[in-house]
Amino acid sequence: MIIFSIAQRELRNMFNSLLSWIILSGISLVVFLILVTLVKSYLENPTNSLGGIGVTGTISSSIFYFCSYLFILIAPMLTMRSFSAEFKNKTSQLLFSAPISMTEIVLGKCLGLYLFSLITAALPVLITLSLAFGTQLDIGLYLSSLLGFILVTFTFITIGVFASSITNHIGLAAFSSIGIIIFLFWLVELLASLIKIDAIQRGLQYLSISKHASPLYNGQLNSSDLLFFILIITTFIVLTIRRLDSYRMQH
Amino acid sequence: MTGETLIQVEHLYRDYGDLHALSDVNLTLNRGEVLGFLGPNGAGKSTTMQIISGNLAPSSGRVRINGFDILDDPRQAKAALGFLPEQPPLYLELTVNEYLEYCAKLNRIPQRDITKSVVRACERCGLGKVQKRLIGNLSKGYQQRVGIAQAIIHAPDVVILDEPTVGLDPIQIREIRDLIRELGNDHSVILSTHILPEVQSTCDRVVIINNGKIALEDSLAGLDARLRKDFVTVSLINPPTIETLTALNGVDTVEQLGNGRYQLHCDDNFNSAEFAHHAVNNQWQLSELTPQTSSLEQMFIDITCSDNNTDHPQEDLTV
Repeated sequence: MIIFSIAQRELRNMFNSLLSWIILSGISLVVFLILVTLVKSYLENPTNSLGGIGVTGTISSSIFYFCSYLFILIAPMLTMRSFSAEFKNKTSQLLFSAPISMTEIVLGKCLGLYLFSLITAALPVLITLSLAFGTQLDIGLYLSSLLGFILVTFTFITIGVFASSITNHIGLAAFSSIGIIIFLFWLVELLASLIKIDAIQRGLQYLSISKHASPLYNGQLNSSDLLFFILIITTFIVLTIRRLDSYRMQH
Repeated sequence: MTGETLIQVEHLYRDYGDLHALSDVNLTLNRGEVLGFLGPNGAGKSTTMQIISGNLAPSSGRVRINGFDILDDPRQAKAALGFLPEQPPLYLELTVNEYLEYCAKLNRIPQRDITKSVVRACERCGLGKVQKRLIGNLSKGYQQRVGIAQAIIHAPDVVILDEPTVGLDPIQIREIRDLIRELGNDHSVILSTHILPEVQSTCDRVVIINNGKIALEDSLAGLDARLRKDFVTVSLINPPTIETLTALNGVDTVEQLGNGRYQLHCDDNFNSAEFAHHAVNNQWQLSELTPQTSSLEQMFIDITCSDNNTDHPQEDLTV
């Protein structure tokens, strides 16, 4: 399958870049430090540290929640090169003159980056799982907050790929994806609280990524939230495909 | 050369805002043909190539490759096409083998044939020794070869090469030209260039494009015939009538340049000595007799510099 070939290329490309390794080691360090801090404060005051429930709620979920914030910055760094660099080095011509569709190109790229983000996500997973040596984890809550973290990550990655397809300037791609992510993560809610018209307010609130992620971090799995993530990821994939199609129109 | 039409370009237009990069470009490429696509910088060569390869959408017009429209059936059309853009699309961090394997996958070559295709492409492009090296560490000439290998990896019917010899040293240029000529044996090739000897040494047919319009289309043999038609410039202080000059043995037409200077367009029967003898006998007082041969370069310049005469570019060709 051509999608897997492109995904494989993208994944190997990530491992070829120094940035990816810096990110991987950075995450391990930061997550480890947070784990130590959280464990320490939990041991001092088990009843109420951050308002979570039990070890899993207070420590694991908090770490995943924190990691999703971290990914606001990390995801754009992983994705910024995906199309921008191809446009810049004109290697996009290789893809465009091969007998493959834009959809396959975009899906391949996204798949490769999803896989890499899963590898990145494996680090906090392993670190938090180390808690299981000393205590009983709430597996349901743990998996639900992990799912929340992964869905948020995939959303950020897809947004980043879209931003990267807009421009052949790598830095600009990173900045614009951070912009779009921050807007959809928080700012829409802020905007919603400012607008007093009910329909618009509810529409804007629905767009907020963090609003749909927080039930998952609390162990609540709603099909409407899952649907939201599927919708937003599909939307940005379709936008990227459209963007590549129109790339041939201009210049 | 007659044969199956592999590429058919009809009424191609492409505008960049107000700039008309291409207007009404028509092209055909037959099987087993090497087509030279000539033009000065900015004439629309690359734009045409980009459109044929599906990298750029035309403003209007259609491109069919092997009978498939590049916009309606891109997959079938692109499968028959290998493209080397002006800047080879190389991943510098890959080795030659890794890169060509990826290209083979992109071109949907079945898994079991990939190694075979890579080996064959490397052999043809003389990449045997560098297969395991990083592309980024190769010389420009080798990088260009990797670019060509990429274009022929799936044994396409048509290979499009956009200025493949730019930036190479003379030896590399000769090697690449040999390679292109060799490709012409079993692929159809479109070769874009602004280097004239390249066309003369490799192509069967020539298309000259200027200001986004096709200015000339002819086979290399036809072009040669056009070029071989010599002309002689003569100055006569006491000239006879034009009719007398035209009546001379071997003279086709006579053009008056003023001040007693004439340009005689002649065929093979013309003999300068005979003309001089004639001039002396008739007391025309011959003061200049300069035989001239038109070169491809002269013709190219005539065509491409006739900006104020673009509506009838063919008229400039009566050399």
